[in-house]
Amino acid sequence: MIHVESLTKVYGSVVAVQDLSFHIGPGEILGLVGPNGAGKTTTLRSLAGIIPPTRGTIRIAGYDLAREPIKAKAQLAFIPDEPQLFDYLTVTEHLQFTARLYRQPEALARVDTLLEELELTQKRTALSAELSRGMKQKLAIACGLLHQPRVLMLDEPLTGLDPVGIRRMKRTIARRAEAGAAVILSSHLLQLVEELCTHVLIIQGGHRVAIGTIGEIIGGRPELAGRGLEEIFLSLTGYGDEPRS
Amino acid sequence: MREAAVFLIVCSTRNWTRGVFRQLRSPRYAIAVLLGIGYIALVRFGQTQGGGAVPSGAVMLGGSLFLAILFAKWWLFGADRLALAFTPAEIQFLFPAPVSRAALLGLKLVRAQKLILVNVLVWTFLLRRSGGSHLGTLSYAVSMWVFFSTLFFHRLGVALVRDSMTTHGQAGLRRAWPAVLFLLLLGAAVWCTLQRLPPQSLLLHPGGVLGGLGLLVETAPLRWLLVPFRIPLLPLGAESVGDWLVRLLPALLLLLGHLVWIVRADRAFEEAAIEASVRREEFLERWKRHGPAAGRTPIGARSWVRLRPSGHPSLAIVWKNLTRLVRSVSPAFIVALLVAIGVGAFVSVTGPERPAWLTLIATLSLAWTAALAVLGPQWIRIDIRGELNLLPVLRTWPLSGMALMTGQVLSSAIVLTALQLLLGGTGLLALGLSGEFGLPGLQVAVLGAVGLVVVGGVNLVALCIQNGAALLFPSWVRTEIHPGGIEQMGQHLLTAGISLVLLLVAAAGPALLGAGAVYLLRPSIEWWALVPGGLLTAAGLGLESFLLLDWLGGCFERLDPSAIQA
Repeated sequence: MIHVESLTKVYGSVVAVQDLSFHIGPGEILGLVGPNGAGKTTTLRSLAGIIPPTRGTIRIAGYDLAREPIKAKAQLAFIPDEPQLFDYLTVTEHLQFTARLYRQPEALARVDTLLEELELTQKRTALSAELSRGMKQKLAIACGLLHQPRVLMLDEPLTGLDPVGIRRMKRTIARRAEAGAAVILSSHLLQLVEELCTHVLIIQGGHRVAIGTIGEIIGGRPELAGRGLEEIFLSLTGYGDEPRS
Repeated sequence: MREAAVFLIVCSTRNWTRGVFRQLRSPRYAIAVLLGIGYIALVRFGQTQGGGAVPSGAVMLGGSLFLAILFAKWWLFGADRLALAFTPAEIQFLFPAPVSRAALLGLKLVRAQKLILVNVLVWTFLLRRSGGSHLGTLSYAVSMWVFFSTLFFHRLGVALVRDSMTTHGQAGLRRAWPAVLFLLLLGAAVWCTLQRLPPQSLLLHPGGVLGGLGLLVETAPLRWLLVPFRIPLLPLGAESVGDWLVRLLPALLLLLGHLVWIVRADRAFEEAAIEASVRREEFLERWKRHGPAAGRTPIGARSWVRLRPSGHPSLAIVWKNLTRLVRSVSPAFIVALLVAIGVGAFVSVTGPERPAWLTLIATLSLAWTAALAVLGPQWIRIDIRGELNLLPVLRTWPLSGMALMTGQVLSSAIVLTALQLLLGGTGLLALGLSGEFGLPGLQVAVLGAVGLVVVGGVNLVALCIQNGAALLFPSWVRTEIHPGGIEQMGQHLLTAGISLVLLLVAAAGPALLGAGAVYLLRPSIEWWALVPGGLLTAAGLGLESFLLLDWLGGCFERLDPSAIQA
């Protein structure tokens, strides 16, 4: 579903992402993890078509993102960590607007279900400027899910959500994957990644450090057998001697 | 606390100054600063040459009335809680710190001096009409400082008192009792004053309505009631240094009284301050995003045209941008505008000087229609210029760059052209009613319609240029909508100048094409030749817009979001 080949992004003299290749199939959830400044956001933004890569190719659901950007973008949803909404549109209007942008009038039939699922029904006539941070995050997620994307990219999706919202969000992500979507989830919450993701991609300094299921990663480093993702992550990124809390 | 406050102020000022000097190393910033300084010098030179000073009596009259109304508004409606706002960092560091309320307010007063001093500089060096003033620059600046400080101190004091009253469960009229009492006294004073003045002295005053109003305010007992509001203005009316010193004393005493009132109040204001700070941050965020025209909170989810489920996505973008405009305009503004139009229409149609009024309205309307062709594309910004910081979101939409830019540019073009239609139509109607316009109605209607099409084409091209500047030089254009100083004035001038030249160059070809058609057809079809001429010009402008939008779409697709964040 997502094919990334030799993805490289350079800003002036700074190499943000270098020669990154990976593949995610339908139903798979890839956890993208790395220390601050590792290139996670740059990778996600490149995959979402927000910034053009300096080199490499990205294929979304069979479409080359550089050559057929509109067809590729129609298949994906990118939900940033900071919800970017239009202050002067209501919750329902955001969804109506999204349906028009994606040319999916039939998606409007799903609005009520989606609002119910994300506990936004009571706020459907409220302006986004009137919503709390968590509610804004839920609305951004609703807009992302409305057109039933085949590829879902989430950057720190749980930021600002309450415990109920977190549980529902986790269930939503799992359901989308079960329905056949390929999901990329970038987060510093390693427990979340461990719980939800089928695969993990660890990057550092723009380079790929490890990729695969946790079992596959341990297969390459037998000394990490029996450890959790947090310890695997610290060990692979050179912080293995950090004292435990 | 005193040492910490001094440290905070000194370090902030030093770092800000260093930042400004660092920016000056950038050629474009330096050019913008030079242009800004040049503009101020030109304005100042024009004022010293032009004379035309406002008499001090009028300043005192207008100023004291302005203060009385402003203070009453603050006490009555309480639109003053922003006066309590601190910066988010000040709230995070100072509010939990072992600092007294008086010290916090002291810091607030000192920090406010930055804004007050900027106002003093603007009024002293930019807006002052030097012709009839007896004050030197320094004494004028000191007088302005006393005036603005008193204004700020009073606003802060009112905010504190009203907030304290709300906290203690007082609301409505009980909370605004000082203003209610003052308004009752004002009403009584106006009635008593009117008893002393014969009606004809007011209604038939040689100075008109303003002259009559001036006479009313200058007559006791209304004159006595306004005395406290004249005190902050007294130094501005001085005629010599000695006179100035005498007048300065009561103004300073009043300022000192305000200071004591605020610092000794010891009222719990923290909660209101935090609320005000959040509101101010939201306001500044909107200002940064959309510029001064959209710097206010959406008024509410006012319903209007509903978006159809299917159709071209570009039209959905137009709908979204127009929604923003509709929900940013306050109902009070619309009512005020309609009342003003109604009063104007009534006066101009029924009054004895009907033709003169109609000619004036026609001249103003048509002049503004033409002025908007140049200035409108810079003022009306419900397009990509207001959404540059949402670029990451816009880039994920499954749309071609051209489709997205078409929606954005059309949004501003529709509003601008509608405004020009309204103004131009009013102008032509007034001209027709005045009887000074010889053309028959059909001719005016046809030429007006063709003119509107041409104006629409000009607007499209001009807005393409403005949006192109935003996409090609995002950090340059974006800083234009930040609240700023001289450099932004310079940037604005430079952008406006270059945009105008580009518009003239772009419009030259279609204009020549239209002029050629008029020249060739005029001998055979007379004034009707203007119709094909105008339509040819509009077609040329439309073709240019299409090519420009295609190019803008490419610019949008290539724009790196990090260029905006830089």
